[in-house]
Amino acid sequence: MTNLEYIKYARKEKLIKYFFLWPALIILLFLIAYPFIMLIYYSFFNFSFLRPVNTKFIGFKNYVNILTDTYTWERFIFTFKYVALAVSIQFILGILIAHLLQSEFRGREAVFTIVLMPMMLCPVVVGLFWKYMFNTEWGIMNYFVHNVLGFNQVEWLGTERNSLWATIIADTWMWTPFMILLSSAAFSSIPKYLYEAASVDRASNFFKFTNITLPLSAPILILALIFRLMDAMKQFDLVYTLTGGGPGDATQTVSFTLYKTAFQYFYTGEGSAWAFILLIIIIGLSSILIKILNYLSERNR
Amino acid sequence: MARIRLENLKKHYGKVKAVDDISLDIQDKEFVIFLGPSGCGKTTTLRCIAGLEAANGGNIFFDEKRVNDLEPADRNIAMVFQFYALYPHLNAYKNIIFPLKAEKMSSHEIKKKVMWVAELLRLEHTLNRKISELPDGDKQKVALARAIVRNPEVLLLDEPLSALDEKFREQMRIEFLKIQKALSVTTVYVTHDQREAMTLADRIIVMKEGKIIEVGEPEKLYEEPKNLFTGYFIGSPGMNFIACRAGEEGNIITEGNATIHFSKAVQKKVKDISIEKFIFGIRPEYLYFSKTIMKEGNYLKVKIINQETIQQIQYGNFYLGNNLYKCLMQDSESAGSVERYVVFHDEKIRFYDPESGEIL
Amino acid sequence: MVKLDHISKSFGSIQALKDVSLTINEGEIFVLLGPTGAGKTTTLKITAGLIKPDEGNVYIKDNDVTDVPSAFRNISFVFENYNLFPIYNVYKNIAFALKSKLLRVDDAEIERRIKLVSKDLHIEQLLDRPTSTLSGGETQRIALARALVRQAGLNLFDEPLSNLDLKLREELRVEFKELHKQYQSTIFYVTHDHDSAVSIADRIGILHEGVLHQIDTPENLIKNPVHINVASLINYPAINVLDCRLVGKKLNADGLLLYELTDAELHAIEKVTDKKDFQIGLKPRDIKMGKGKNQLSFSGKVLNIEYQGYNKVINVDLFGSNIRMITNEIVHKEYGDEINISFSKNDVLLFGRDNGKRIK
Repeated sequence: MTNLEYIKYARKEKLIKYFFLWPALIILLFLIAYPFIMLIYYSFFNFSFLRPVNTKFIGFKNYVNILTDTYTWERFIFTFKYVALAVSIQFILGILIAHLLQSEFRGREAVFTIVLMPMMLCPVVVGLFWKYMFNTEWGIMNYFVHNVLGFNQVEWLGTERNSLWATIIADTWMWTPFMILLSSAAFSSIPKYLYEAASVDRASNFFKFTNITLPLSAPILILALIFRLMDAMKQFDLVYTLTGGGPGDATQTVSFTLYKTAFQYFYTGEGSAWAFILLIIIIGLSSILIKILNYLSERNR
Repeated sequence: MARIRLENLKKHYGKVKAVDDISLDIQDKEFVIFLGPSGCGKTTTLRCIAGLEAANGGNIFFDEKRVNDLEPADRNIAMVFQFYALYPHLNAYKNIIFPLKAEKMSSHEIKKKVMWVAELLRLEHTLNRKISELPDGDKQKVALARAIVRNPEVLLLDEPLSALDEKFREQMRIEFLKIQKALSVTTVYVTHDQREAMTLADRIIVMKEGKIIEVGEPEKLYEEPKNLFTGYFIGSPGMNFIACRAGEEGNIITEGNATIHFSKAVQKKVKDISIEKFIFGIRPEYLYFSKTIMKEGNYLKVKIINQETIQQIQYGNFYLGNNLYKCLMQDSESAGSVERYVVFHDEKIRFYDPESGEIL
Repeated sequence: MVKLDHISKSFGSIQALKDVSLTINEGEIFVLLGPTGAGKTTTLKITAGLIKPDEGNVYIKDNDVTDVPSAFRNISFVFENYNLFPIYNVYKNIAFALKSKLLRVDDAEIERRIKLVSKDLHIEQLLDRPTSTLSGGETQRIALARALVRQAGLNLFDEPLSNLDLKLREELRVEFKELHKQYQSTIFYVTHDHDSAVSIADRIGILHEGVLHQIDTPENLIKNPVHINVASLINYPAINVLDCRLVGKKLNADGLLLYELTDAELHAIEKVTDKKDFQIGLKPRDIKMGKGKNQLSFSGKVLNIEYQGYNKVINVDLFGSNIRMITNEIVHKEYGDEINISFSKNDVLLFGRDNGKRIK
């Protein structure tokens, strides 16, 4: 190829490159950049979407109101409790089930597919049918507890403590498959000959799990943890359909409170401030975990 | 005591017979090497001995005790793998003590053992380093250390040097010999590199397509191979195999219609050959390029087309029919394009059956 | 035909190539030899245009192609790991490059070329097979066919034989050389395997840790290495290296006298350096058994004898260092026996200890 032909070709290539880029750029601009900037902007105003007339710049007043309200802290504590419990259970359960599914057995693929199905459902749908399953009189959960196991009927969604656990159960049911999926991927990437060497070295299965499987899959497991944490902190759909934030406001997560502020009371400005605060917290948590992730990846290389 | 006996060992994957009826006796403290091309079944055999694969037929005995149903952990073996199989998240020291920790040995005992093995393999300076920082040769040394730190009765090695550069391979060969002698452990080693096999083995087991072709000491297999494949696979360059048929007077005619003249003793042997077409085998080092011949000796007229140096030895290439063969050029004579001769001795001549590969 | 001019390349904090310059003549086989990690693949990829150098220029046929992408350089590349497309059969794999719009080769011509190349490489019977059923040697031949069929001006090879068995490697090397004679192409070949390099190369470049030490024919590199790294890489078995010190006119190793220098030799050394620490290199094949006339003789202990068929490598303990010598005589010694070895002063190569450079 002569140099002249090459130059023509190179110019054509450059044009093609730009042609492919601009749709994505436009989407990024309008659907992500613009809303985000407006969010921060509105958080400094007492702006309400319904009554835009008396909008005044109030500086950090929205933030101060939120952060000095004890109600806010109650909501945060609840959300943290919920996230900590739910994600820990999913994490441990997910790893254990993935480990069990590692060995080859007949019908393994079918079991795998079934196990992953809950994850594919909409959180709203999950919330709705768990609500029916948790019904005190005719829900299937109480059928097992009362009629089969002989305990007293449980008011799943009736008390504060119970509704917390009901939410955790529903969330775990939906998201454990995610942990199973990522753990399985992590476990299969460990070269088989490491286990063979350990077998020859007379290591017990437990020893192999704790000394080979866990350390070498740690980076991906932590990654899964980061995903779940970030997502759980934002939990809204499930709570909305399962408990409606109740009983009372016992199961109102931070996201739910945000929803109420912005779309029930229409304090759009304050809602924006809420959103931003939540964002900062999630970023903070993730950064810590990402640092741990990097350390583990380095160690494993 | 660790004698290993394989009795009619069979292993197949679907329709493919990886190990096809292998029987073998390995003596205590012996260093045997399974040698053969990729896919010949040598690694599968090793893994059956280790217990990492279950045999489909036949028996494996350690000191006359049948071990087919024992897990690798219960066979008192140690293994070195081709890709080291070192735990990347631990440093060298922790890798070496892994088997000892799995056995729950006391930390005092552990320390003693590690020091002994580190001294033996000269690893004192690398114990604290991360596996990923070590050069390949040291990685393999750590793998070897981990294997022997348990004082196993049987040491199994699966192509441990194939992943290493030439330089490290040479060093490691000496280390292996040293270790094996120091530990007096029965060693089974698998490789496709015949140089390794020749240097290290007490006995070599040549395998092809799941079967044992020949077993013997390196020198025996090199000088007097009983099978065509052995002569082909061992030695660099390989043996010359010239297809031929009997001519008059006990001489033979080769492809390309050249005549190889033999001494009286060899002519008698040729007349005894019952099949029509057979193979004449002789190593290039024993075909001497010469300007003159002895009428009563063995000789062949050749034209050297070029010369080659392999492993510091000068060889000449010549054609017989469509095939290229090699002979030894002493004192790097220039071949020229004149016809000369190659001469050779009676004892180095071997005839083979082209069908079975066995010696006649 | 190919010129690399002062190429440097770093990856993060690691400098892969340091000021590398070389020229490849049209029609020759040029081999870059060096240990793993030396930078050989990087050099090859820069020549191909797959990597951009930090500094320096690449010229192909006198055109500066440093900024020209790979597709426009008229080259073919055979990777270390074959890289055949698993979804195509053999024929489609070989034809793949020719079907690209850049090359504009019509179907009839494609078929003609493939027929020709598959005959030369003995793969005609494989043309309609799926790639999953092929052996290592067959896959490699097809990768070769795919490169040759391009009829590119420059053919680049990145250790194409390293994944193959030893025997297969030896056979393919010979085929490779034959093919080159036929196709008269320019070949840039990269490897860490000494045997491959020496048997196929017209000229060899020695690359070590990003530095190109010397380029010359194999014979000249062996006779006249300019750096200790060249000597260690080009010699097989590995060259013996002894640390020594100059005390007055005597060259001592470990306190014991090696030999005395003549005034002329001393003068030659002092012209180049005033340091007193050196390393000497001695090739195994230059050491002989027994005491020789006009030779320096020493007495050492036999450590072990490596049997390699025709050659035997003897490891001797001399002055606490392991000296290897190679011989094809019959050796009747055992571990611990005393042995006399001798070599000529002229065969000793002297290198500076600080920078490794050769001192004549």
